[in-house]
Amino acid sequence: MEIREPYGCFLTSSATDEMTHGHFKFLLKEYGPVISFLIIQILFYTWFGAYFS
Amino acid sequence: MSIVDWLVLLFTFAIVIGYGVYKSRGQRDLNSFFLSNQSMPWYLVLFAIMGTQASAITFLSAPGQAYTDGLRFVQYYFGLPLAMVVIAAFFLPAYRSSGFYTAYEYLEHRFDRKTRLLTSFLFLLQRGLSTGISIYAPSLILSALMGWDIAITNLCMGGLLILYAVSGGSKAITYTQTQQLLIIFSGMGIAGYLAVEGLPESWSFSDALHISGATGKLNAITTGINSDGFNWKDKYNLFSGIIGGFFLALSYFGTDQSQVGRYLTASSLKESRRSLLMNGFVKIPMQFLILLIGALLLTLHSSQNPPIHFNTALLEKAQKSTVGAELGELEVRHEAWAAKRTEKAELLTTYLNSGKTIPQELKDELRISNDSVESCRKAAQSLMASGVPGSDVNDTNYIFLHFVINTLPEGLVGLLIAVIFLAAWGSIAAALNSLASTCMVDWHMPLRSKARSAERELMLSRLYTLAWGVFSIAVAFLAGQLGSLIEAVNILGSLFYGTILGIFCVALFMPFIRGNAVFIAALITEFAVIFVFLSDSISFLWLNVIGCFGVLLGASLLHLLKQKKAPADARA
Repeated sequence: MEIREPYGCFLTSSATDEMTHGHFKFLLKEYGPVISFLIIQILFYTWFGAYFS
Repeated sequence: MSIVDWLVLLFTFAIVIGYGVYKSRGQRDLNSFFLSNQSMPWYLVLFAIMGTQASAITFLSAPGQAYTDGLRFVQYYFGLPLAMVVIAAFFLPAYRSSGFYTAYEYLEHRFDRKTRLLTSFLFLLQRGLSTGISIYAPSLILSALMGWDIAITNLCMGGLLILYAVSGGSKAITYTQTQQLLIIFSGMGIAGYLAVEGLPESWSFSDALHISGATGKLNAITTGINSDGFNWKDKYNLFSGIIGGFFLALSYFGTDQSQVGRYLTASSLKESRRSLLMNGFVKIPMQFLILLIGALLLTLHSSQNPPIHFNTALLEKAQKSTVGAELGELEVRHEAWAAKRTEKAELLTTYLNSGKTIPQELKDELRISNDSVESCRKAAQSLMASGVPGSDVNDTNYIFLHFVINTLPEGLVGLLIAVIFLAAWGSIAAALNSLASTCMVDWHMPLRSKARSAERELMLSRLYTLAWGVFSIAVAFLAGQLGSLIEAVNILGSLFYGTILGIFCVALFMPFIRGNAVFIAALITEFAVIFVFLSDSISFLWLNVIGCFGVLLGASLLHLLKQKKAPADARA
């Protein structure tokens, strides 16, 4: 990954190294559960409203 | 309030303040005062993030919102988990990369000082005013229903927390927020349980949900699409919640120092990230459960004859005014429709208990009677507005507190009143800490570059915290005279958040754009956002989207213009 100094863009951060090296797998493992849980909740609330109305 | 309630209230205050002051030890420099020496575990940071976001109005207003408008308000939070992912992936590494105290410090590192000062000024303006309002709004409700003096309530709401916010900084705030949230959740849980317990014996929890559902209040998901297409003025639907809510949450959690200051206290990048992602997990269910209390209150009121207006102090005033006779007639009509609603709700439970299918006509009749009760309430509000000029006739924020005062047993009333105060303290203390850090780190230190000892910097930071506390209480005192401006101040956040987010997005995602382009684009966009808001053509949630994209587009265009001009200048 290109390092774009001196602008201080997030890409320069060493803290994101794990992201830049882990690529898609890292993103999926780290952030997938949050997004999956959101989708499950939207489905649950849709069912909840339909069931009790 | 009874003696027992007062004892519970004062005991809770003493515990929280005492604990906060006890945790104040060990403050030596700016790092310990503003960042807790970056030593906090993720779960304490999570409580701090949640305690900062949830103000007193959250707990007062959300049940009332569900009572009058149903659960669809939960959609407002659908963009939040997505925002947590983006912040954890992109914003957080940038903030933690160079040991910044504030989010705006990063902007000078990335652009220049004027962009940092502009952004931090917008933050100070909106956060300073909104903190004053977050003191005044719950004080007004409490003083109206409890008959308390508004000035003393304001002082308790905004003043007592200053004791630990000034002495202990972010560490004391984080620890007290954890304690406060535990008390708040216990209090709300008990209130929800007692709302179900108050139902007639033959009505079960499931029956309560069926009754509420038949009135249409449990439809949490709405699309906002009708025969005329998408309704842009509809505040809460799936699309405005996911898109508008995403931008609002991204601005608030990603660029507002009151939140950035919380997750920067975590001991590592991983701990900060975990706290944000956990917030993405728990926020929506928490909000759903609070809203559900409101839906259950509606069922409880379906078995009773509730008042036509829940701000009983204002109702009494209106009854004595010129509209008193007309209001009396309306109350009779309201009572008749409420009785009809009770009759239909009882019939519905009979069907449920016998295992028979509920006829659609019965559900329709229950919904019509509930809608008629609501119409009477709306008509009463219009009447009261003319009978008591200048009064705020919207009683949504009074519904939950009315239930607390009139239904809960001795001792629990004191606990629930304490819940309101603690919820306010958590968000106000974090706001004061962030206002002080922005003042000290983004304004005082760069503009007065004289060398100072760590002790002096700490003392100045404490003074700034105190000064912002006094300022916020002063705003709360003045708010009583501002009247309708209160609503405008509440929308203030959405007016500025989009622009601020746009500046940060350019900083993070457009590494080729420099300070001048983003500074000019931010100024132009801010005026455009204010113009769109004044035109009243769309819901305020969309202002965040407009502000963000306005800065991104404007900065890109200015950058392109500059690039085109540069070769021409070189040739000349």
